[in-house]
Amino acid sequence: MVKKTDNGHLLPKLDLRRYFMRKYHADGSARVMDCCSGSGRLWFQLRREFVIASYWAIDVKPKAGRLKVDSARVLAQPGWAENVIDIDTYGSPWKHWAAMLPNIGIPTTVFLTVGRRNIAHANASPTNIPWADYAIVGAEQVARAIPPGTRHVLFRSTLELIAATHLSRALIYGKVVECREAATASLTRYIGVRLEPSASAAKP
Amino acid sequence: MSTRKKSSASARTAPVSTSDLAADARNPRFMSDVSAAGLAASIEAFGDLSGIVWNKRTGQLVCGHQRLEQVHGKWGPQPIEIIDADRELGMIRIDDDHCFTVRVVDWPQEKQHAANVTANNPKIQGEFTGDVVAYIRDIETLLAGAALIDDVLLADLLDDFAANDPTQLIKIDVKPPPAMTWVLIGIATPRFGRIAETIDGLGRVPEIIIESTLNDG
Repeated sequence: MVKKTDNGHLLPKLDLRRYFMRKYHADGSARVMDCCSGSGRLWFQLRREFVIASYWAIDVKPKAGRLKVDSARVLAQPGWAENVIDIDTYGSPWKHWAAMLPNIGIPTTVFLTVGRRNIAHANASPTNIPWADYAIVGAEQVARAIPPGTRHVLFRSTLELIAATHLSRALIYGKVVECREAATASLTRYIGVRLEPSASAAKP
Repeated sequence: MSTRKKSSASARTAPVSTSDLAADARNPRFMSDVSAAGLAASIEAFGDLSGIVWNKRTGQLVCGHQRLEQVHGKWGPQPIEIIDADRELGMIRIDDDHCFTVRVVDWPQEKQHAANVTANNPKIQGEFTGDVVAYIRDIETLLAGAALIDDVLLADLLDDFAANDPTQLIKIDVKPPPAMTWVLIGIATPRFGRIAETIDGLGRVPEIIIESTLNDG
């Protein structure tokens, strides 16, 4: 029997971060921006395992010891100096990703959680993918044309295309040194990316 | 990729015997002999404790506390319709999809308490087998489309099974996907069979996505 524990969510996320931390931040130089820190459990564990230079927790919900702000807005501003960006959203990380890419000035490791919840909003399609995401893969019109009861057939294949399209936008701003995904049985995707900005990219 | 979904269109007639109630051959649940014996003993001692059960001697619920709380939270207090006065069986009927049986018993408080803990005892419940992953995978797009995959915590369940395995980190080759041209084709269902193989063949061509479904919505 498999016992139900919170570690179900935690383990693949931790293993992914451990891999990149060992490979790119073993020298203790990691300056972490934890964009959707929630309970802070993930980095509470990682900070026990790795020496890091600084840790900055941000969340839209107030809590002692962290900044209450929309982290996508922080990432959209040039000048931050963190080299580990953790975007552990429960829904879509792509708004953060798009905001962050133009402002990366140094080699940076990014963690993305691509979930399902909270993707829905007032402008979302019935499959919970925002119409804007359908639009970036050119599928908005066809998605709108499909009868609502059968629209879910587009869900999975389109979601993968949307992720691939967003990820590839990194190539506009520099080089993707490495990208790995933690393989799980979950529908949620856990992705780690090592980015190197091009010479003309923003400097902090 | 080709995914064809068929609706279970044929409505079955109402069962007249428990022998009409066929088991789901893929039911991803397992019950040990010890648990099964415990469940049998519970049924023998208390009857069916799976719905809302109310003890008229104490005026208290035996079981169904959480269920009733959710019903009240969503729909407020509801009338109870008598289904079988002799057997004191009632029903909260909100709509066709939301009906809850209410069973009335007349027990001393000790028996009520014994039934309460028995009804919630995980030791006499089944457990999921590893087959549950494939079972959920087969319906995940439908569930995700209805936002159910997260809302009823099935994604968490999948994560629990994943947690038992060491995490493999798969390399992703980041490159722009091809620009897609999307074509929506409607085919009269009676004609679909003739060209299904052609469509499946097309779906095996790289960078072509074919998704098909019956329009049952």
